[in-house]
Amino acid sequence: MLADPKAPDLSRRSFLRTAGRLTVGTALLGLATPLAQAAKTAEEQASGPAPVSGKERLIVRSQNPVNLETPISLLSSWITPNDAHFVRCHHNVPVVDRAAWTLVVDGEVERPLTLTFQELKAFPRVTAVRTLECAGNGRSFFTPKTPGTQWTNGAVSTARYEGVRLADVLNRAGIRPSGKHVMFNGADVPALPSAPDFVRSIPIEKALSADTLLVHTMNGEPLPTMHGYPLRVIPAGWIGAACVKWLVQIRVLREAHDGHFMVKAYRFPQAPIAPGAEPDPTQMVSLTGLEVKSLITAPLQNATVPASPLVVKGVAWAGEEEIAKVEVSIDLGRTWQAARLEGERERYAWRLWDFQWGAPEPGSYLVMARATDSAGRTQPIEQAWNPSGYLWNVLDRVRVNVVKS
Amino acid sequence: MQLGRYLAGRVLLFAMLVLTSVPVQGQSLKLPEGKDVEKVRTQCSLCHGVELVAQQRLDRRGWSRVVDQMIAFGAPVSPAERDALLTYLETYLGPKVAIPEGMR
Repeated sequence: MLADPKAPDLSRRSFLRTAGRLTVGTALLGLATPLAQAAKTAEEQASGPAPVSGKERLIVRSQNPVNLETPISLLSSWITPNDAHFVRCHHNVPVVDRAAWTLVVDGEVERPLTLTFQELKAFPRVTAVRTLECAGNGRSFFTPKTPGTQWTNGAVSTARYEGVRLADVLNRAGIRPSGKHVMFNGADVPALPSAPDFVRSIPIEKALSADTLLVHTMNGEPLPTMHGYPLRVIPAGWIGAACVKWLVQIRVLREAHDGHFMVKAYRFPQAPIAPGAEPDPTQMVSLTGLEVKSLITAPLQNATVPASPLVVKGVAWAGEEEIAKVEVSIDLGRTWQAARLEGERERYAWRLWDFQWGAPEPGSYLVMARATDSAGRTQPIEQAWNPSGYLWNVLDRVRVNVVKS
Repeated sequence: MQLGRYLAGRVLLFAMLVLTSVPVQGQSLKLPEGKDVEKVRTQCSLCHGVELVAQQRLDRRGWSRVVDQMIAFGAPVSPAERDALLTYLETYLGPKVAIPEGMR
């Protein structure tokens, strides 16, 4: 919503409570069908929640809000197809009419702007491949458990985006010297007007980076509804929550935005804490760039394979850094061997890698992968526990059963 | 226009709720039956699906943080009801309750 997220308006709020009930009837008339779930067969009902239309191959972590995880088997290509890209939403999925849509740029600027989609598209066009990962990817692996969507490994995907540089738009508005942060607000709204809207901000340096984009096209198609149609910001290499969808407002601020999703959520203890401990809120810092991480995409967990030469494959990424190497161990970490980085390469996009595993003897193996990045960061063997289960990046491991060929 | 946008959001939200109101199936995402399960269902589904609740495993302290957060967000929960919710949650969705296959 466009309103100042900090300004409560009680009369409007109570009106909306009533209005909300009235709209149920309107909804039944079929005003909004794109998000309708496909009709469920008896079989589907017995086995689990119905798939979400257009994302049938994904694991439904929740239907409301829509949170969909990509199975590892679909993450074996450099570019993830749109129908396989993971989805993370905080509120509803708004369906925006692009012809009526505008982007407001205001706050600490010389010339506030209201841009139509055509005007936005007229800025110099940029194409870039970006890996996006939810900060909570891997949350289900934490002990003790932490609250939130219980992702396993698949809240990560990579796509080729087209759009414009955020810096070009901000420079047209003219940033005042007082402008130090840039806030993003989408057309999504919380279920209760009293609940915090999903609003995030990034420091001005990151906003002005030539790599921070406003994207309108994903893998050659208009940004799909669930991915933020018509416009999404992507601060390259930063957590998924920084990539605000369904953008309607960009506001330049003097300080970081002070809403719930900046001051309470997406924060991490500055100093390591004991598992289960409650950190001092003043000692928590806002999450920015992603960690170094790799995933084994083949063989899959608990796969049975014949005792013949085998290729272990995977992906590796490192947020704002680049992948320097990936190593594989098949002897429980006693020795590590270099995997081959292969395929296409672009900064802020994951690398594909593979490893030739010469004919292993029959038996049960734990295959492990560990990535190291250009800053020297490497995947740990144990995770730094944190209260919201963010940034899981323990080295990946899959159990592989090798049988006589 | 602001209000219009907000209402449009509400329409869609309720459309989603109505159109997806077939109960979420599959043991992994269902609330376990138990005392006060209806209170949990009613309160939590005011804003989100209960599948989000059913996949958590927290102790009473962890659950109270979550419930108090929701109350701060505007969930209309009385002190007595808060207690009932917490007792259900720690009993049926506590750290020792097994996590069903398909959710891990």
